[in-house]
Amino acid sequence: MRHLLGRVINRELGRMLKERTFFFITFLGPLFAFFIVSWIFSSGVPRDLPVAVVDLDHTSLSRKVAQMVDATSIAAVDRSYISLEEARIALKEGKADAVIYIPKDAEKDILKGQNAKIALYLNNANVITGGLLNSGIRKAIATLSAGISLHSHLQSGETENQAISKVLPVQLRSVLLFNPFTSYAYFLTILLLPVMLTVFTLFGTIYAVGTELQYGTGKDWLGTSDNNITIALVGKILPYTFFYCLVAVFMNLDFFYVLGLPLKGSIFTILISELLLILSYQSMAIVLITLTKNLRLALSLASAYTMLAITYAGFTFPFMAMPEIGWIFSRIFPIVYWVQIFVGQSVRTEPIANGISQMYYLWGFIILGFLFIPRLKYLLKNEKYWGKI
Amino acid sequence: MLKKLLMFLNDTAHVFTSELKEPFLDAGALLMFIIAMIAYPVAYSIGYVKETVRDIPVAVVDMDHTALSRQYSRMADATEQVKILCKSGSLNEAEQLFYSGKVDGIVLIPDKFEKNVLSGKQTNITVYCDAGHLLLYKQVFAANSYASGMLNAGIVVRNLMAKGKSMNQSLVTREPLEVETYNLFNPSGGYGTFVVPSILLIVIQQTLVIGIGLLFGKNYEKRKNKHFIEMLSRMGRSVSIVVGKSFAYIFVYLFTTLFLLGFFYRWLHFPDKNSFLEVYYLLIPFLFAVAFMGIAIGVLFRKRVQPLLFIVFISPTVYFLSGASWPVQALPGLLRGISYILPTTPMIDAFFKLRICGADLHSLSFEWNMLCIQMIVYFALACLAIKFGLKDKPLSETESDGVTVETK
Repeated sequence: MRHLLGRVINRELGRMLKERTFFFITFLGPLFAFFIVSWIFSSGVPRDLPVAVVDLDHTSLSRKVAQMVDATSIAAVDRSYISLEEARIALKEGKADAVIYIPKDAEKDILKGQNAKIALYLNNANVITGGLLNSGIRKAIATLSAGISLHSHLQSGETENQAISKVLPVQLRSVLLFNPFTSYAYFLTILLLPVMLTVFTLFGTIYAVGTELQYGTGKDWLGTSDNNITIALVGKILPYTFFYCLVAVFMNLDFFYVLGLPLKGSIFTILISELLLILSYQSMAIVLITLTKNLRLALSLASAYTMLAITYAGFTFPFMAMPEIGWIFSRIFPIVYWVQIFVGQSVRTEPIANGISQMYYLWGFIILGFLFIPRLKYLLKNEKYWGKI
Repeated sequence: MLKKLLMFLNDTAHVFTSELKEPFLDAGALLMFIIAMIAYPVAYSIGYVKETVRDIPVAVVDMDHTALSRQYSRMADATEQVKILCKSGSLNEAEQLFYSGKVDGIVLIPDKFEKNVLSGKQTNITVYCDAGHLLLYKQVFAANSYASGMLNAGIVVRNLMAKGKSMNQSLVTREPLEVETYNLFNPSGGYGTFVVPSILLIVIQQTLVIGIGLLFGKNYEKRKNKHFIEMLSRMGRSVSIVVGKSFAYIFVYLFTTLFLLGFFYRWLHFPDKNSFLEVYYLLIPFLFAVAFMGIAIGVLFRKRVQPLLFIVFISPTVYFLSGASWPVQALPGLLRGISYILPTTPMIDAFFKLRICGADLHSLSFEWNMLCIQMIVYFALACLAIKFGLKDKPLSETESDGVTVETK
């Protein structure tokens, strides 16, 4: 048994060394992908988005508004716009992401005891920057407004504490769980790095098995294990499992050391889940190649299968807001379960039991692959299915 | 001279007509050029059709049990963003609900809430939300800041009026500076409107490049380049091949893009502030830039599967490099520069400005010039690649990667 397994592994390593493609899909590709993704999100949060301030008031108040907004990390104020029309065109053309319009006599109105209206125009085509600018700018102006209000209360002889409670009787505090930096980058990398891992796992395994069909070397492969398909398959897949586990280790290093993700739960559970994730995708590789009997078609489907998972992981857009069919569709991607385990263990400090219950689904995918093994053996032995790419 | 030119055109036309059939003769190329172009966008859009997240379930932990605390719960419940799923007696209980995924936020109203407000002491409301999911966090927070704003305004105005000020005066004293927000271009903050247009353009670029690569891989595998290599012996024929091939692929893509960016785009009710004619003004240089890029890369492929193995994994990064989703200001400068090797980078930018924001064509000159530069550079690269890179599989190489003989 062990002797046969060794022979198959040996044969596979030989194949891997002969073709540079294998080097790319097991090593170079994943590292390159990780590098690019980490690089894109390396600056973390968007900063200093261009905001046009149209100041028709030209008073200390209007300058104060511009200063307060400029002082936020999200906005960088440009005061060179002289009319609202000009600023709105800049907004359309993407030269500014928001426009703040301070009308004439704003300060005078406040001194007179009337309130001044400031208009904020946002480019909401990008909902991420639109949302960040909205909350950032509104908060800055509200602080200024409260300051003015507080000032008038203080002038009427109240103590500061009294005045504060009169201006803002109920304060809203928010406790951010799990993503203290409210960083979009942070949570996109949690999704994108493992997606890259699964792309290469699926492609690598499909390529390894599919090329046997394409070159018609299935008999030779089976012969190495004395026609025992299970040993043949295990021996073939094991080297890849090993390489992708190494990639996963890299991924974890990137997560916890480079990106500084918290690790509140059990690292052991995370590692096990990553192994199961890799095995699930290897198993789906067997399913795809057996169903299509065609290397290229299997790879095409694999592309769709891995790329669509980004949308259906419910990470960028929650499941709750998807139509029923979208939710059902999302169940076919192993990575969707894995993300739950990972987020639960790394940032949410969920009980380990939650993670384990998600793992059952991953086992389901692995078992599915086993069901296709007899069919794969038949394909490998049948000349009719060879040479198709 | 004229005769030479005619022969040149004749060769080009010949490449065009023969290449036009190619995508339809190869199942893999057909899958990329036609089926993927339709299936991907549909599959992606299903996830985003609902655009926004409404009625997010939250739990309220009311330690106060007074009229004011109940008023707050009602105010929060009345917002479109959240719905109060339940009122739980303790924070622990609410946390259980949160971890089991039944609620996505917790609102804590403290003890002595009403009493503090009435006696003029500042009190607070605490919102616990999962910032690991930014869209949910944004909505839960927005709902509560709206509700607390309303509650505050009511209390302050009531207090001031009790002191004998008029309603109007009270409103002014409360908030001297008022901000009115106008959300332009995507007023409802729809996530689909934000994501799907870029995905469509990326699908166009990636399928075209992969499809072209596939055809080059096939020609090499099946020794079909002989004909082109013969042609290359005549002067300037690398241009004929590049022009003939790219026109053929773009011809197919004119139909599929019309479906995707015309019908499909409208069917999803995305903002459409300019006519489709103006989209073509961008689309033509974009498609040429992509096709030339595809040819320049495609020459390198020796097998049909290689473009899939080498190009697919890039796709998600293309999306974040384009600047449509992840703001340009947050991209490292060098990376932003590098991203301009991709036609999608200027294209997605220009597409958003044109169709979603409604900018004029002349304001897109930077992006358009960029696309034209890419088109010219990739044209030159494609010609060079064809001239020096187009090879026929040597006859001696009957083995595929030294494994065994190909059977077909």
